Amino acid sequence: MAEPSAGAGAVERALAVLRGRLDARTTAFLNSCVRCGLCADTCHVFLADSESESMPAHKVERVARLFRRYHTLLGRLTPGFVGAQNLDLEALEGLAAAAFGRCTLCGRCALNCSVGLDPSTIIRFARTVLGAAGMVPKGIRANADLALETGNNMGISRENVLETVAWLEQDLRDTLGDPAAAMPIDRYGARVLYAVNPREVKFFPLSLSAAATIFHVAGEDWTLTSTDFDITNYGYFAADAAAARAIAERLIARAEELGVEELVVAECGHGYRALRWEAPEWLGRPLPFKVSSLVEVMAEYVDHGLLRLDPTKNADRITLHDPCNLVRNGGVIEEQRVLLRAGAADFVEMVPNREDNYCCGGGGGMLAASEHAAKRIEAGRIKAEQIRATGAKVVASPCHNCIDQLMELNRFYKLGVEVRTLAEIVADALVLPGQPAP
Amino acid sequence: MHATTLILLAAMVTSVAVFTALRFRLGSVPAPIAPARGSAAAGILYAFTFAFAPWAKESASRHLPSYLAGIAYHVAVFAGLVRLAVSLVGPSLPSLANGVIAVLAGCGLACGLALLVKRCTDRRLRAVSVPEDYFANALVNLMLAATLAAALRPSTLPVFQIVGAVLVLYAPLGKLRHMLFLLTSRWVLGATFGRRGVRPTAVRSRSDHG
Amino acid sequence: MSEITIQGRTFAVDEEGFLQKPELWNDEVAKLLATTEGVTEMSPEHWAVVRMIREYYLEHGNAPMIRLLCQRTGINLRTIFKLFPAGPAKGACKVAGLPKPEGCV
Repeated sequence: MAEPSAGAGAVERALAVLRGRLDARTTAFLNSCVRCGLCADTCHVFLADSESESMPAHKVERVARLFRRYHTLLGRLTPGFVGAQNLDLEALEGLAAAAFGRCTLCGRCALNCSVGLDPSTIIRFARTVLGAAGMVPKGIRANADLALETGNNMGISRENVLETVAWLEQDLRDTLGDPAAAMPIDRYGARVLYAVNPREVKFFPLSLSAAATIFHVAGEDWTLTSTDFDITNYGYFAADAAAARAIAERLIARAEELGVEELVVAECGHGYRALRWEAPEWLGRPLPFKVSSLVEVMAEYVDHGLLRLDPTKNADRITLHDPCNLVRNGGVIEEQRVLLRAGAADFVEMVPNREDNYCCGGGGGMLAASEHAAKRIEAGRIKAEQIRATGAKVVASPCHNCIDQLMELNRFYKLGVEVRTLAEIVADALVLPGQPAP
Repeated sequence: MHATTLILLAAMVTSVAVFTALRFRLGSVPAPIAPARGSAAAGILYAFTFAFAPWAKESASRHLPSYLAGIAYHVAVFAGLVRLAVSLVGPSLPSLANGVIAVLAGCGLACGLALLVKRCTDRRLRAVSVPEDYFANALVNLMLAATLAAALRPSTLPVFQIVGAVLVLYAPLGKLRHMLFLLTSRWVLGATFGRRGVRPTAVRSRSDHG
Repeated sequence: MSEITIQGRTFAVDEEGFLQKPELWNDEVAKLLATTEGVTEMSPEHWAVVRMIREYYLEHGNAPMIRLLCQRTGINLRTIFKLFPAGPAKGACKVAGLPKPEGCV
């Protein structure tokens, strides 16, 4: 499999990171794995391909061997005995294939590790080492760079955002038959800033329209922003701390500038995790506003009676895919279920679910790493089988990244389902003001 | 005091010193800043209690024989280390205690050997194993054999002390150092899942909307 | 990089089936790429979408916003998703011979 070619000095740069001082968390994890191997079949990649290289323990061990060589006495004195390995180009290439091609950072193995360590932290460290060598898949790197350069990962201009929102707003008024319906943008002092995934603005605006409908009906005091609206963070996938921080900081600064009380993150797993859980650590300070997922906010609207839903409007059987970064790594577990129970007539869980759910196969930035596309589809077989077993006609997932992968799985594995965001399903179930209750 | 007791004492002091140095060098994990959804304390408590239940993790429930063997192995090692420490202050134990140690060490040894056989024969495990994995397992098995022997025949106690001395001196150097680091790992990961309200699952917050 | 062979013709494509050399594109190639996207017959509406994307790409070097695509072709959003089951990014852009767009697609 072709990895991005590493330029001159790549090994030296990677070595400088590897030999540097590691944080306590990563060091503890790297010193904890005993290679019991019981993690193997908790990983969707291993379940799909049965290759020993896909075992979490194997992926961890690739990194641990390098770690032992440069950070332990036995690794220096008796490298063969403890399997310590020198960092060279071959080791880097193996590492890249494992850290980007066989791991989606979903953390299912962490939840199931018999020792209690988190392999995804170790793989993230491997990605940092690879980043120093210039060996991050070019799709992931390009998305991070475009976001740094233009403020969003698709390079969408402010004018294009404004025109798109005006177009969607007109559509919203026509659909609701309500000339007062609005999609406020750049409004200072709104209570809520709703930030989105650029793909919603550029290619997939149905979810944005759905969210606008919901905010409007719930009577929320909200705004969009025409600049720095991007919730995604490919710097995080690249495990490039400086880029991840710079990308998150823009949206945070914009929210501070607008003076909102709450930043509501559209349906995007890693975006939620990055902004809700990681960004305060990157910035070294608490954020002056609350960070929520749209899923949480919609569930609260339903709880408070601000949205009335008619489940019969979503009559087909619906199942739910739990995005790893929102659920297992983000803690948003029950809200999506509240919405589907209230807004769908036939909601069935896939097994396993919630924090035990299998990754769709597209996590960790893998969707942007074209060189690993075949592996991604292969690893998605576990998810495809889960979906098929439910007999559902619709798969709901509160994550655009998962949705793209699920759409591909749908076609490749011929599942015959429709893949939708939660907001679209909730919007379809809405009982509008003035309409009789169901 | 016997010469072997002195050697063991020196080895234990050295080992504790090295482990302390390792722990010191590890440093601390910075206190998290993002507001918690659940409870870090609950997560840590869970990680050190119910998370050990055979049904708590797939790695255990799907591989029950391996997991239970691992538990028996570790319980025996713990008993052996306690017996080693006790041997510093007085060589003989009441027969009941000796009996318990003999049973634990015997079971632990059998499990340790079984795990060694598994590591040698399982294709997947071989793929992740390094020579030290076999060595560390064998060394611990030897210690358990010596524990068993000392429980059955008190005259072999000096041998047990010497084997024990080798083990505790070696422990901080190779994979056996996980006995220190796993405490931090479990603590940190438990706290993370707890804070995020994942495990144990936090009650859904119903806050200030509307 | 890899190759795909559709109806006897071989093209260099990336690992996700996007054409590596956009200049190789023509109507025949579009029809062949369409078959990989579950589009068996290119209707006038398919052509309208594909041509608009193609022209925009040649002028600007990237894919058009969905708003512009809908407004220029007069085809509504939901119809575009019906025409190209993989959606405008992975579906329509691929048939129009564009490289894979940036972002979460």
